[in-house]
Amino acid sequence: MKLLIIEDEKALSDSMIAYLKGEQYLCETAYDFASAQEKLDLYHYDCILLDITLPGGNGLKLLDELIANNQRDGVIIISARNSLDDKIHGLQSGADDYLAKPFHLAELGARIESVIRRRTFGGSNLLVLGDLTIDLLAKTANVNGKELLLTPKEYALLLFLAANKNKLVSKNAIAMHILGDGAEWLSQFDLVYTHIKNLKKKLAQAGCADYIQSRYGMGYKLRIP
Amino acid sequence: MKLLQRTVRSYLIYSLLLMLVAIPAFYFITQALCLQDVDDALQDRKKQLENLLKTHQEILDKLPWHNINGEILISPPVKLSAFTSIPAPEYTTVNETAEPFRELHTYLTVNHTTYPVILRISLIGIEDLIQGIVITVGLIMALILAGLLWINRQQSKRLWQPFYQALEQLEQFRLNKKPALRFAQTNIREFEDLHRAITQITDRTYQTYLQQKEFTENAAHELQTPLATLQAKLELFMQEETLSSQQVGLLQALSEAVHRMIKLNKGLLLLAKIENTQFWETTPIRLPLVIKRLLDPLKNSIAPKGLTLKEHYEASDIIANPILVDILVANLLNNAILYAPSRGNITISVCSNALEITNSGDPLPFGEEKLFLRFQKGSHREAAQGNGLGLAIVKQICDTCHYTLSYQYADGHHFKINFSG
Repeated sequence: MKLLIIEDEKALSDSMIAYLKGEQYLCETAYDFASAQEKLDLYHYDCILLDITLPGGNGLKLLDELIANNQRDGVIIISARNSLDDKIHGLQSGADDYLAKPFHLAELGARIESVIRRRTFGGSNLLVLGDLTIDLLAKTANVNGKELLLTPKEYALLLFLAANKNKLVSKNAIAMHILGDGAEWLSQFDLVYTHIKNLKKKLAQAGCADYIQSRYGMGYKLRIP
Repeated sequence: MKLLQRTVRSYLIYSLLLMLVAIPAFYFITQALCLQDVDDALQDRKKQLENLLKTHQEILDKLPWHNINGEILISPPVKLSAFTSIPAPEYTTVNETAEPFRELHTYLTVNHTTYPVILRISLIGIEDLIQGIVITVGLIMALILAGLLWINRQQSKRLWQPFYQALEQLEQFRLNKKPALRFAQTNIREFEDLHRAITQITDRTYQTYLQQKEFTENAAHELQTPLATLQAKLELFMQEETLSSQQVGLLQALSEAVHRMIKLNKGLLLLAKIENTQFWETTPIRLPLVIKRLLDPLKNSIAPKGLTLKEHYEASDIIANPILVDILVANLLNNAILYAPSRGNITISVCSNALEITNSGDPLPFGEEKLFLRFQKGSHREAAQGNGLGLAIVKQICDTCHYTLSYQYADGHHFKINFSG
């Protein structure tokens, strides 16, 4: 899987590469409008992370060019502008997703995986992680064929951890992810802990190995051997 | 008191006082002048009588005393000693059965005999005349006064028109709206100066406001990328397999600080966004559903605090923007949970276009007028968890959407929002 990270802030770009490395991703970078344009002309990518404010031009113009050339690469807009207009314009002109800065790397990982999965036609709808199988189409999970009865929030939590498997996902990242857009203004308190506890209990009851590990009280990790 | 009333009132008081003094004065002066006239006439008549008696002395012999036309009364002669002088003539006004007379009491000496004589002229015609004149003059004065007042009023109204227009424009001036002041053409210099001064001052105020607003927005925007970098680096650091407990402590503190900073920045950006967006699309929204959806993740913080939640919903739809309503309700709920004491109460009620959220917290440690200001926080320990923007955001949304937001303290904090304005 090839990714292109178009982001002028080198430190942020490096962090994204460091986080995504180790997955099956091959990351390339572009730090300004011109080099991004050149790379987009020459190669195809499975997913493009596109910053809107770039030295030398507006990232949305690159998106328009991609659409005009009928290049069907997946595009996730990453913007510091955080404005609804950019989001609407970006999604209308053919971007697959929109992520406002500052974001959690775990959230980025989940979004990339989701975009790539949607674009890989004919790919399997089943995500197999050890004993655990997640049916992405039916939105269900089962352990060795035994279905888990998960609430929508627990399913979202499991999928989020799965998308970032073997990585530490911070509590804040989880809270932001499962609360969704409208509820981001709520104070989260012990929300994450409760959901994790319930999920772990259900997994254990189904006879699943203890994949979800708490790490130093900072976050959780779905460790798949 | 209005400016016009003030000037007119002074005129009116002056005119009324003048009329009160002038009309009686005019009456007495006219009366005095008329009496003077009558007295002169009596004097003339006395002279005529004297001449008549000198030439026709026989008149006196025929009658012991004479009453001619009831106007001249000659009494029998009186003996005056040589040493007494003849008394001076005397004028008096007498009233006989509703008819006033002017009388001249005097003495006539004919052939060394002195007769007391009374001459009189009826005043009835003169009284009527004086009354007529006074009434006419009074009427004319009243008419002049009324006319002057009316003309003055009309003219003042017209003259002050630009002033009132300017005042109205100023009242409509809002700091967050570009001033579009339009003044009527006037050829009066003072008003031209006033209009110019107002235009300058509103333009300058608006520019200053814009600059400040832009600064806040730009600062918040510019912080997004460094914050993103900071957060990303921290998350990478967390991926390290072997961390000492000291490192974990540092990481947690750092990550909490960054998280708060991000929320604060988001709050500031949201405030700017709400303020800058003129039209928010609206749809019918069922408030109880919104509240239930947002309460769900909050249950985890309501239970440990031992809070009692009372809910009372009446089914009614409001027309509003769903994003803003979410933010509004979430912030009010957060606030209620944050400021309710342990084992306290929270009441949520929805009835006909209004939402009321109450928490049984202690009274405000600061003035009510500061409640909705940015970065205003309560004094208790938990208040530090808030970012101080929640209620400012609530206020901004209510202002933008013309909802009425009210607060009162009565055994707890009562926040009420009326969505129908």
